[in-house]
Amino acid sequence: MTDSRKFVSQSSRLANLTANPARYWVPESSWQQLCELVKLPSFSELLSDFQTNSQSWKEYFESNSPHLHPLPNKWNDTLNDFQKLLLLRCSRPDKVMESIQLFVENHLGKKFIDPSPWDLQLPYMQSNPSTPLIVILSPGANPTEEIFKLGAHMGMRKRITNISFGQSQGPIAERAIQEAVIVGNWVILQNCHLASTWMPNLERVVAKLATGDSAVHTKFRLWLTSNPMKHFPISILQNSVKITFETPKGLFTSESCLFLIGIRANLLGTYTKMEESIFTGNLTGFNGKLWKKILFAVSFFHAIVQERRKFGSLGWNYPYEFNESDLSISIQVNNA
Amino acid sequence: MESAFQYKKELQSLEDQILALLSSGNIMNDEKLVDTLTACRKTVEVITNRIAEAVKTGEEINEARIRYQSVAHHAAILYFCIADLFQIDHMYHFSLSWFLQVFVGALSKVKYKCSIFLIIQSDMVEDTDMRVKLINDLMTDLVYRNVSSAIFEKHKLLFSFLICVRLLGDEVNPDEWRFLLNGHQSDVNLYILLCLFCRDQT
Repeated sequence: MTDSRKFVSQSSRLANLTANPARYWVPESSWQQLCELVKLPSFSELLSDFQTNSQSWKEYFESNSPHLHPLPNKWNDTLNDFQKLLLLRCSRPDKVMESIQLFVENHLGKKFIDPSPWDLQLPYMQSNPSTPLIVILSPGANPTEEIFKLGAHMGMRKRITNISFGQSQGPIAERAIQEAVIVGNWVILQNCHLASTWMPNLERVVAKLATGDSAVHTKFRLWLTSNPMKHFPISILQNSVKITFETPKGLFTSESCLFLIGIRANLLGTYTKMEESIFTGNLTGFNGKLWKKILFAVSFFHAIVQERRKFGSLGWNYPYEFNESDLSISIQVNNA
Repeated sequence: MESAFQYKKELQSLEDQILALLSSGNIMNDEKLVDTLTACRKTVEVITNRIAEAVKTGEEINEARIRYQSVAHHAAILYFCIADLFQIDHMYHFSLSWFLQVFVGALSKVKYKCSIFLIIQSDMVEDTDMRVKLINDLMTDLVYRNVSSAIFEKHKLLFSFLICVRLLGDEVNPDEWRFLLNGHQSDVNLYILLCLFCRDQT
C-alpha cells in the first residue's frame, strides 16, 4: 500500500509540467497537487483561472480560515461542497480536518460531530445478563471507579467482584463468574489484555451465558476492561456492548486550547513591544544565543503566569496582578 | 399471496373433477353431472372474484413495500459502515444481530413518533414518505450514538464522515473521493478511509 502510494505521488511529480506561477505564496507541494486536481473534469479550468485571477486566489491561500470563506470567482457556485474539500486539500491541507467536520455538520447534522458526553448508564441499559459490557481502554485509563459508582446507583454496591488480571487469575475469574451467575452479582474482569492466553476460556464462558442452558440471574452482569488487542475473541466483541474509556485529553481540551492561544498571543505581544536593545543588547557575559534563550524562557514563563490569571486565584493565594513591569524587572535581573 | 395460490389450486381440482365425470358416462342422462356442473359454475365465479381481490391486495402490498425500499437501502449503507470499522481497530467488531437490534429500536421509536404526527397529518402518501424519512433519520442517529460511544475519540469524525459520504451515494464522484484520500501522507484518518475505499473498488 505504502509503495503504491509513493509511486502515485512520485509519478505525479514527474507529470507536473506547468511551472508554479506564484512560488512566493503557493508551496511547491500544493502546486503539484493542484496540477493533479485539474485532471478531474470539474476542475479543468482551474489553472487558467489561477493565472488570470491570481490576486483573489492569493487571498484564499493566505486566509486564516479559507474553509469558511466563499471561493474566488465562479468557483464558489460551480463546485459542490465535496469538491471544495478537494480544493482545500490541495491548497490548505492544514484545514482539511476542520472542513470535513463542517461538511459532516452540513450534510448530516451537528450532533454527528459532537458526540454525546461519556455515560455508563446508556450502555448498561442496553446490556443484559448474557451480553457482557466491554470497556475499551486507552493506555492509562481506569474506569473502575465509574463502574463502582454505577453499581452503587443500581443498588449493587456490595455485590461486585473485582478481579484484575495479572498472575494466573483465570480459574479464580471463572469461579467468580459461576457464583455470580447464580446469586446475581456483578463481575469485573480488569485488564483482559494481560490474559490473552486465557481468552479462549472466557469465550467459552460467555458463549455458555448466551445459550441459556443454565439459569442466569437477571441482575448478573459481566464487565470486561481491556486495552485494544488483536487476540480479543471476536465472538465476545460482536455480542457485547462496547464503551471506550479514554484519559482526559489534557492539553487539547477547548479550555486549555484557549489557554495556549492566549500564551501565544501574549508572547507575540511581548516580543513586538520589546526594544531592539534588550533583544540584542547584552551588557555582561552572556553570548547572544544563550541570552535569547533566557529571554524566551522568561517571556514564556511570564506569558503562562499572566494567562493563568484568567482562572482567578485558583492555585494562588490571591489573584496576583503580574504585569509588564514584573517582566522587565525579571529581564533585568537575568541580565545582571 | 398464499391464498391466491390456494384458490387457483381449488379451481384446478374442480376442473379435474368435471373432466373425470364427463369421461365416465353419458352426459345427457347423468343428473349428478348436471348438478355438479351448476355447483361448479357458482364456485368458479366466487373463486375468480377472490383471485382478483388477492391480486389487487398483492399489488397494494407490493406498492407499500416499494415505498419502504429506501429504508432497506439506508440500513444497508449504515450496516456496511459499521461492518468496516473492524479494519481500523480489532476491538471494533459489530455483529449483524447487534445492528438489527438498533434497527428495531429505531422502528419502535418511529411508531411512537408517528402516532403523534398522525393526528395532524392524515394524507396517506405524505404520511408514508414522512415515515420513511423519520425512520432513516432516527436510524442514522441511533447508529451514530451507539457506535460513537464504542470507538475512540480520534475515530469518531472519521466514522461520521464515512457515513456522510456513503449516504450521499452518487453525489460523490468516486474519482474525486479517491483524490481526497490519496497521497495525504500526513493524515492517518484519511489514509484509513483510503484503505476502505480501495477495498470498495475491488
